[in-house]
Amino acid sequence: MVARTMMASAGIFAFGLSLMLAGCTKKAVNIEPLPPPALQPKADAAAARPRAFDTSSEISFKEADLDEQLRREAAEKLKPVYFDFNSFSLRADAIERLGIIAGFCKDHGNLRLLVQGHCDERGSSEYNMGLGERRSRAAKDYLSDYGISPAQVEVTSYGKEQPAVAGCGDEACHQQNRRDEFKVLQ
Amino acid sequence: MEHMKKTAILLLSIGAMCGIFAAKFNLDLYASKFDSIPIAVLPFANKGAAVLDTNRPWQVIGDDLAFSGRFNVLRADKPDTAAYAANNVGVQIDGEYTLTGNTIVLDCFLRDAAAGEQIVGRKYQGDLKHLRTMAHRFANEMMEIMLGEKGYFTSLIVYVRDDGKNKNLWIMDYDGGNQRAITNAAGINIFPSFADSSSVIWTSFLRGKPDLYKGNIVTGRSEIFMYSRYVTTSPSVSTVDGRIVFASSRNGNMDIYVCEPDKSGLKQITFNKAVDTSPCWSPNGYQVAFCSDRAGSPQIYVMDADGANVKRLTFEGNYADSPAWSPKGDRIAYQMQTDWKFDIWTIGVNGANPVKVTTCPGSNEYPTWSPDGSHIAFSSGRGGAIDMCVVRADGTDLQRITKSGQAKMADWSHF
Repeated sequence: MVARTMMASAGIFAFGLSLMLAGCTKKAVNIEPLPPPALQPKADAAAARPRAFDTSSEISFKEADLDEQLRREAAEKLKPVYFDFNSFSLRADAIERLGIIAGFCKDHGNLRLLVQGHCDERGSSEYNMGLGERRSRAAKDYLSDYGISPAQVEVTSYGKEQPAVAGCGDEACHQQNRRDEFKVLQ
Repeated sequence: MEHMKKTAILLLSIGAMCGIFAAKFNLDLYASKFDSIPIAVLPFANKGAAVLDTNRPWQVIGDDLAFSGRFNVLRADKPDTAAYAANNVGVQIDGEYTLTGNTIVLDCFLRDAAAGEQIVGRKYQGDLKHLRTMAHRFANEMMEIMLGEKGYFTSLIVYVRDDGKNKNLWIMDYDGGNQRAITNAAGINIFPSFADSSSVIWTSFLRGKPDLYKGNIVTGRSEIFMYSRYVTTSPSVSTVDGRIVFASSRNGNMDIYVCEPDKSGLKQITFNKAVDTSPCWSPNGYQVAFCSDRAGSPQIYVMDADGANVKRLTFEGNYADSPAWSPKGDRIAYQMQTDWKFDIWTIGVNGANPVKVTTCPGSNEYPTWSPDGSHIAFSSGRGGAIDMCVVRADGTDLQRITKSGQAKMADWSHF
């Protein structure tokens, strides 16, 4: 898959930089999955609201150019979630990651997320668009159980058309392709 | 007896056209291959200075007629009375050409092999890049004159070239000639379907999600056709009225939808919580074949165009997808998986008599029928290298028509 490079924004003040570095270290230690639905939302997240839906006649999903801090946080927290063969059920490792993703969404209530569902290369192209769609919706439904508004999460499917690793020969490789990926939208 | 009578009538009518016909012929030969007509194809005479060294029209015409399975093509350098007699050749194709710069003038003749009298003559003139098309047109005429059937040798195949980074739409003649790109962009362009002889509808991720686009292959203009914030994919256009059937998850689940050629009248026609996808029209526009996992695994179903009378067709394997309905109306081709690879199968439209068509190694996928329902094109390959192949509907005479290692998801144009 072609990785999009995020443009780093220029001019990070020293104060902000040190705060960010301190924050990164702290967060790396303290990250843990959020508990199920009875979570107390943070005050600032409650105040922030998701951007209004794009109601123009031609909707486009484009990845946001995030500033350096946000880009790093996204890279750290919005990791892919993996699935078993022919399945769209969320495994324990998937649920753990989705908890972290939910935290990101709560912290940044003004950002929209795109869930991209993918399949491994062994099935058919057409049916796999459907399986990828199910995988993307499984993640979105789980996030909404965490209190993330559906308006904040878009879903789509790439079927098997955009593998993370092409030309797989073994199961470990195929596993890398059965995934949801998470992108921050403009 | 019936068979011999049928062939005798055919020969007599050619004889009537020629005026003279040799009386003796060996009827056993005619019993062998599909009632095929023995025909000689000779090199065309050069009436100018420049010599044609590629895309020779006599080669293309001979290949077309042989491909059809309706002719026994005898290729010779010059008229050969002994060979003609041995092979019961009664008719011969030859011609003349003049090449001036990039312009070619082509005269094609069908003549009586014994007397040399011309039965049919056709003249073509144009740019050298249209040379193969001129030859294909003459081959079409041969089908119509000698068999009374429409020739499909000017048909096209639209397909996807996947270079590992991007997927773009390409188009080629049915025999693999004149391959050219019709989209050329970074991104994913898949599942093309001919809307008419000059337009294609396909799925593109241009807007960060799968939407349907429509493009004119003559003017090169394209525009978004059907979209939502969800998945819109797998278009199929009816040859009867141009209505489009496609799959979409816009109502919360992957289902099948129909709309008019102008996008109006959008109607959902499946309502099962299964993945319902890969729709294709029947040639008469009354029914839609599709893939559904409502029984637990992806299988082929048919239903009426309004969604009624859903009936499952495939029961043999545990994964069948990408149905394609024969233009003859009687059978549906699809891909079915066994041991991790797919093969092309066909099945009667009432679910009877499933037959495996492909035996070549590699995964054989995404079937599409020739305009007359005699052949099936499909992609075949393993790992990185996938090419387009064509085979007769009964599985014989397999040919590979691309060599790029990147060709898949074909749609064969219609009459």
